[in-house]
Amino acid sequence: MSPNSHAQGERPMVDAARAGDASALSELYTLYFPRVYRYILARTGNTYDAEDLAEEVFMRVLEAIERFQWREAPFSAWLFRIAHNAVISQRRKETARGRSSQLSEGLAVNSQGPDELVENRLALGDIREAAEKLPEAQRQVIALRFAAGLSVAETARTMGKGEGNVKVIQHKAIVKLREMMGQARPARVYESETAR
Amino acid sequence: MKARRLDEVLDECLSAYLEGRRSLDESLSLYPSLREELEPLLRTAIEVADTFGESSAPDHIEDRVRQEFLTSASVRQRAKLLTYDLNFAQRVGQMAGRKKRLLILAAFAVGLGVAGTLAVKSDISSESARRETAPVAASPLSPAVGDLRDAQQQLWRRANQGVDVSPEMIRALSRTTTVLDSQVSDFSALDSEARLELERAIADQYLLLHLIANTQSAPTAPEARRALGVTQQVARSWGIDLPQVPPAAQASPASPAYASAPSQPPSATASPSPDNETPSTDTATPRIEGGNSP
Repeated sequence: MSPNSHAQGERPMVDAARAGDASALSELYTLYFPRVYRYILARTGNTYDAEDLAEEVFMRVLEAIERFQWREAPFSAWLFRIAHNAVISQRRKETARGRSSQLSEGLAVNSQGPDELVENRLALGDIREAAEKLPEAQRQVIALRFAAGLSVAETARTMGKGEGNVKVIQHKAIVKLREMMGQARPARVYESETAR
Repeated sequence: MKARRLDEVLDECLSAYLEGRRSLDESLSLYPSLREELEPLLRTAIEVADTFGESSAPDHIEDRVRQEFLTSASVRQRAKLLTYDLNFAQRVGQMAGRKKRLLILAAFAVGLGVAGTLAVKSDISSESARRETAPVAASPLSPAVGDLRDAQQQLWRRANQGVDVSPEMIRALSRTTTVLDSQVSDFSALDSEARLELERAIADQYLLLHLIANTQSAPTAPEARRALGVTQQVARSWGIDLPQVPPAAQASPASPAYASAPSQPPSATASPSPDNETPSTDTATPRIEGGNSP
């Protein structure tokens, strides 16, 4: 399934959610919770933070959704700005407390055996660690594009940048990630190169 | 033709892969001259996307947060309706206050007129005088409804702020409800405006008491349940239907109702207009911080 959202298609759902329709809110949650969770996990590297912050994001969405206006940004961009601000806020709190984020602790991956779980923890840990060394804008593009599954257009709107700029940032981020991940471990072998 | 920049080609191939439109090989075959540069970047990007894509929250976490999200939405929706109607009632109450003063003046004037007429024409029957004054005497409900709304509003504010509601406040609400009921001798004989006002007041009270009964502890919750009984009794005697209490949370529907028509909030009372105010909080207008250009 494509991770990219279809802003036009989701408009009736978002409008109904704004009016307080419970089924629309439930649908919205189903659609966005996994993406918000993955985005926050990509940014924090901590499943506990990802769970707490994802919940916080949805509560903030509830508070503010009535004021959401289509003319300003697509819903996904609006939602992920909230998620971004939650991550930044959490980071500030951690900095104030002097706590450093622990990578890969208790990463939960459903329906996987122990070997796959360990492999995934390592892979996610490696990637997160590499992404952490990128400049903020590159980190942000990587998390929005690959963890949250936003399109370039949505990523651009979320970040308040042009699409061309996002493509340049994405390119630079991938080049750097490749350099860093190449040093860390051999590239993954792909058994099949068919599109997922 | 001007050659496309690598970042654009990379994004095009990446988007095509992520959206399931093209495989990696198909993309590379489209750009043979860029293959050497493109392939390692695409492989890295796909690995990153696949790895992030594999991570998900445990089911029980997702379910728990969903439950809290929907419960919170339901409570907010009820609160919004109640606040709207209480504000409306407050305005009506203020108007009723002015109306009451006017009615007293009118009654005084009518009384003077009737007395004068009686003095001049002693053959005018007392029945005529009663007919003259009847409209004034038949409007005692607005103050009682205002009292009920005041009591509801006080309760709502406390419940909404998470402050404990005292059982005495609930008992006072019950008493006010009973007083109002005693003043409504025949509900069906009231005009439509008065009936609507009473229906709204009782419907809101019913929801408010449900909220209190479910969120407050003893001895307030049992008192709220007793008051619910009084409210239901009054509703029955007036012959009005009480609103269905929305469930605390609702699971994913098989087919969303909003797909065919936007739904209305689950209440017997009027729903508020959409709030079009300009966002003012950080959640309403979230801004990306620290977004440095590379």
